[in-house]
Amino acid sequence: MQVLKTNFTLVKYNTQILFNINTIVGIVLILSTPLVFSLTLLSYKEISFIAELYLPISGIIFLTYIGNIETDHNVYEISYTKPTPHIFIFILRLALLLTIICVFIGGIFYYAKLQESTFPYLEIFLGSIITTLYLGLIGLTIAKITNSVPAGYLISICYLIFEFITRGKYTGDFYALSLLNTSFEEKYNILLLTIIILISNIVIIYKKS
Amino acid sequence: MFFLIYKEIKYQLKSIILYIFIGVVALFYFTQFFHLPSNIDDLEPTPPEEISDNMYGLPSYGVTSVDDPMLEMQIVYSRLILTARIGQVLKHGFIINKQLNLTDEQKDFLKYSANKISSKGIVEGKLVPNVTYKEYKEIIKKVDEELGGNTQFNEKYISSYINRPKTYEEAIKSFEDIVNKDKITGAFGRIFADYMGITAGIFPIFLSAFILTRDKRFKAHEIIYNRNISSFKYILSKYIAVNIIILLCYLAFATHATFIFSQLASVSNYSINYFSFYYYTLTWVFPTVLFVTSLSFLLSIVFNNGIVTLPVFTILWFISLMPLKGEYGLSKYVIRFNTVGQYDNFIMWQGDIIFNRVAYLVVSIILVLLASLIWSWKRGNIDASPKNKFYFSKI
Repeated sequence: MQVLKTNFTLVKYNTQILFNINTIVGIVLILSTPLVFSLTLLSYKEISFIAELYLPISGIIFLTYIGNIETDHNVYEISYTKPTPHIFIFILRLALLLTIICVFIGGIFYYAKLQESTFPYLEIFLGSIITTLYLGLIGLTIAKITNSVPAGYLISICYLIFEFITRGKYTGDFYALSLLNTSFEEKYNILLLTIIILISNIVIIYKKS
Repeated sequence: MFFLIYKEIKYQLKSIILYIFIGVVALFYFTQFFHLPSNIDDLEPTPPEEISDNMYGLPSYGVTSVDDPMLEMQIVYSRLILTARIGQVLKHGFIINKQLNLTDEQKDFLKYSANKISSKGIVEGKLVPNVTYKEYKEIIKKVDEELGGNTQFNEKYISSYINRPKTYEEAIKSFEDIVNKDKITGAFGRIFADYMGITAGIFPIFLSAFILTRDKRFKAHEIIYNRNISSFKYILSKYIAVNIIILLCYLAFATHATFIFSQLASVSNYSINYFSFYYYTLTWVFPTVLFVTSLSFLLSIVFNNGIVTLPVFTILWFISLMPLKGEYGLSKYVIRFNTVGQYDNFIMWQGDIIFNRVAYLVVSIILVLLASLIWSWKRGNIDASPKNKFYFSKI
């Protein structure tokens, strides 16, 4: 019972911490999709532009800073010495944000389907989530290594724009925006990379804490 | 103030974000712009008898816009027939374009409009029109309205496909314009400014948006707020410092490009304009940088967080990217001129470009002044809480 109460308290306080301007901006970005683009009668190619270029920016906004919360507020010496391993807190925060990302992005694609757009929902949804997570974790890793959150934002945005302009010329089978070429094959490689980056981050955070 | 500018530049030179920014710009410079000819003479078009044919059996020197009204009518007439047959029309959206399925009534209207333009159609390769050019314009305008507006038949977008293959003589004239009028570096300076403008449209926000929130992050804002310095001087010194740093970065790449072209030109015995790259950097790229940094300052002061600039500039950036050339209205804060040469088009658009750049310069100054004003107001309320403005203390 005590364990449940502790865990509930952890979830409650981390939800409060995560409900900051980054989360608000990320949610506003996703919810403004129908205003920025018209989601009516979109084909695969048209929705893939939104799924690969616009919505993944929310991943960069949501995830880049979460590895540096304690460092930025100079409380890491206190929080790292607590009984609850910091790595558990990190995974909890990641899970909370991933839930928010999936719910809101899924909602946008569902809305597009209601507006008579024709595209395979699961493929576009999963492809977009993978790209969002991938870019967010790249930003998080860079922010953790350099101890600078803006550096994380910069590198991940640069990567997104570079992939968009070069259309996978330099990344080949690891082309992050493959839905723009109506291909899902590269997403398996990106998912593998995402898992590797996630595990690396967990190891880095475990060692640092 | 000069001391503050010096201090800020010194701080930025120690910041890892600056070097990542330089790396990012270098990446774009070398992968996008740096596909240069090994020799200036390679730019000269090959005579038709020496060129290997493309799949249509014709030498290809690129395309040029159509000036002949009859030819324009012929191309658009063909496009009307094709659109009615396919049953889809391209509709230009805010950022992305869509292929709209046509109803039977819309397809019939397209066929009716095509028939109105010419009942005999194309005979021996030439359109036999029933209407004058002015009447044709009216018919096409009605077609665009009937299809919901902003379609490929709209006057704004029709020029994107009204083109024809260049002749060898036209290609030679283009080359001579590059050599004589543009002095080579003028032509490449514009495409350099195009690619650098793409980077200047978004990446400087990571240098500028987090400068003012740095004071709060290091808990130094209370000390700074109490100092005897005007808000305007404080903000302006940081603004000038970050813009100097970014400008020096772009000027370094301009210097490299000038050096490369001076080498190429000396090999082939051509003369170049040594100032072209600097000119386009200062007049086309720098106003973009000024606008980006000023709006970043304003947004980061208002929201107390630089992250707000990211989605704002992403949307603005996507709007500014297209078309690749020819549109320089005030909604475009990045100047696009994604082609080498086209001196005549450059002269035609030069007035619009100058107006655009001056307008963004003025807007940047206004934004910085506004940012100073808001920072000054926040400085007076130490915790920057709006509710304190409306607090009525109970005495």
